[in-house]
Amino acid sequence: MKTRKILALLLAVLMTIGCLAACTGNGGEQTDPAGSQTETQGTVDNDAAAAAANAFNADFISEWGQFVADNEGTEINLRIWAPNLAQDVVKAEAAKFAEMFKDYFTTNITVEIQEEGDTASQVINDPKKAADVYSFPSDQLNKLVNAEAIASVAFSDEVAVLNTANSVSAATIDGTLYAYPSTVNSYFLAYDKRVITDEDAKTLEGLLAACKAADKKFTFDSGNSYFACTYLYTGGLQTLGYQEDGLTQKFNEYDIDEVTNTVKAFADLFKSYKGTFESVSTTGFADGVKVDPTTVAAGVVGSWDVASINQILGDNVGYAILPTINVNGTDKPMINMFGYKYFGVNSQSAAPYAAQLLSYWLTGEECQIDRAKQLDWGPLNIKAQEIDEVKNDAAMTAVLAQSENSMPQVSLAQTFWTPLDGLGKYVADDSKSFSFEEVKEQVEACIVNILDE
Amino acid sequence: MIKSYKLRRGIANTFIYVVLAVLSLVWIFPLVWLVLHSFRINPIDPTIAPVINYHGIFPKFNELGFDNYISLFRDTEYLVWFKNTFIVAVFSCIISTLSVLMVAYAFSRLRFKARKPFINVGMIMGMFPGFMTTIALYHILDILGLGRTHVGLVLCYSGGAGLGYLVAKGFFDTIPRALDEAATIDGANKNQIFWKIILPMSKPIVIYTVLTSFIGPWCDFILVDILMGNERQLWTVSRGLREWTNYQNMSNGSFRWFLSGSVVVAIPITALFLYMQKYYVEGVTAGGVKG
Repeated sequence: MKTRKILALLLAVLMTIGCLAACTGNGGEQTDPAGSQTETQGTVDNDAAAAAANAFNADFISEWGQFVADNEGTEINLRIWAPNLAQDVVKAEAAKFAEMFKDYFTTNITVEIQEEGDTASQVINDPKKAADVYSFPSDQLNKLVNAEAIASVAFSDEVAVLNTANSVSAATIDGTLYAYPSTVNSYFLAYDKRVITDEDAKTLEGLLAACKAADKKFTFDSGNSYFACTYLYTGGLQTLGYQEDGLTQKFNEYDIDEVTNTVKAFADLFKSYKGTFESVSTTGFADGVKVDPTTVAAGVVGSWDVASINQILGDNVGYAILPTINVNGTDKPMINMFGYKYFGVNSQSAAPYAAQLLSYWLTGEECQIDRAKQLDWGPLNIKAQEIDEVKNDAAMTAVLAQSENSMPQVSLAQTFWTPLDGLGKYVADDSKSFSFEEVKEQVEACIVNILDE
Repeated sequence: MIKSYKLRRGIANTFIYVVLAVLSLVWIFPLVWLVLHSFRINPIDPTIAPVINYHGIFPKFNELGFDNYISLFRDTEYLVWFKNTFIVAVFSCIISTLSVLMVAYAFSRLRFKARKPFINVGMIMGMFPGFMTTIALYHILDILGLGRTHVGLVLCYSGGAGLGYLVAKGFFDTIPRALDEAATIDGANKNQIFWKIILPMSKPIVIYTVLTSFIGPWCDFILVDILMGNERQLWTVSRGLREWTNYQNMSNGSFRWFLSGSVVVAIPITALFLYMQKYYVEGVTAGGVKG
């Protein structure tokens, strides 16, 4: 009788959990095509440069403070959306903003949690209820601009001078700058210094050999297009915005044999280092080093993983740019996809001037340095990149160096992602080896599918 | 052909039990996994989130602990979400239960001209999935000034609840009409009959209706997701759990909250189930006879 009761209890618990588990299993939304035209920046006049250099000095504050007070009143309510991790930092930054302009208008700023992965969807769902200022990754820009949910940048001349050219051009569509660059958002190499020497970390072959010798793994999220595009980019393919129809992806004049050879080189490494070269999401690295003994010695990780990795490994972690890969005798640097995070102003904000001012402040030198120091978020402000805390920080140095070997995540077609997911999984399949022709067929099919509308 | 009946029965039974065992494993194993792994911690430092891609089915003994649960209540908004879920579920439950029982009573006892057409319309409307209208609901609630409020959410859950009258109607049909007639002779009107005669005799079906209308809002995800947007203070648990499975949060260790949160949210509803279990079974079978 008693056992029946216990059994009934157990079943009841399981049944109810089951009905809840079913509600929540849905995975994250795949990153969408990104960016804007890679046009060259218009020449910025010297006045703007001079003004930018003195951003938020007394003149600037009084001029704009008065302007906002005249146009929008002296009590202004603003809402900011920022991810959970950045809440405290952004709150402090917002408080400084309110303090700075307190002689001209009172600002009531609330900072709300909104993870950047679905900022654009939340904004577009109901722009009237969305925050006045929100942070989002570069791949959502097209969506926001198409939905007219983002206002163009009021301080575009200043922003263009203050931040790296790539980050500005990635937020520019048809000559209009739409968002304030805030931080880098990309991926690079992390390794356990106890196992891997800095020398090993320079080549993929060296890395894998060292990992294999130590019987530990190297992780790379091959089945995810955001990472798998590395295969094609390293092989010399480049994405150059859209073709004339404004929809189809435009490529450079790539050499299909070279691309194929490179993809095959990656595929061969997966085969020859079976059990070492593992395709798993970027959390795989942190996962593998937090157990004892560690199971992972190196991996490709994202900017968003750095905080948790540092917490686990402390001084034992090394960060570097992605290694080189040997393709038929030549060492080629791995070229990755490079994204950015921005602050945008809601086009339906009730206080558009104050919101522009706040975004400009949040992405200014001081705030970018704040976030670099407290969150390890690599700055895009040119001056902020020069400070010692950034220069001496391994992760930020690595990600900034990686930007030299990368394609900006700009103007990618809707069709860019899914075919690459497939190619990535194909490359990571270590159960059999492929011939050159087989790989070429796959690569060609992948490119055709990207071009297909 | 096997002659022996015993052997034949043995073979048939073995086959059936193997199939059943496989099915039950497939069904029950993920749940066992969820419960077990909600207790799995990082053995080196419990304050750091445990491994997500865990190699192995069962956690080792030294990897077990309550840290995920402690962290769930200490570091997250879980209690707020839990409170929201509870409030929404209780109010939706009260309104929908009343509405279901009253509709069932009307269809079972009253004879009016539009009865058949109403039953048919109800049947057809019941075939459409509820989430079909979520976008429309969002805009309508917004116009009414109820957008992103719990009142709006409760209204959505309980508004169409009356359509689920079928089982209850089946139950009421089994109660002899002679009782109604006797009450009428004593001077009771239809309303009094419902409250004083029918309801006290229908405990099982009342319990059944309470349970089903409580579980609906308790587990629902889609409506909350759309109606509440990103107002975290208004979310219910299922929306919160979903947030903990997105990749940005995963790398910060939110998966442990997902595991422990899923187990905790099951507790009240389990308690309700256990408390009302014997009525529940009676209610289902009793209504089913004529349903």
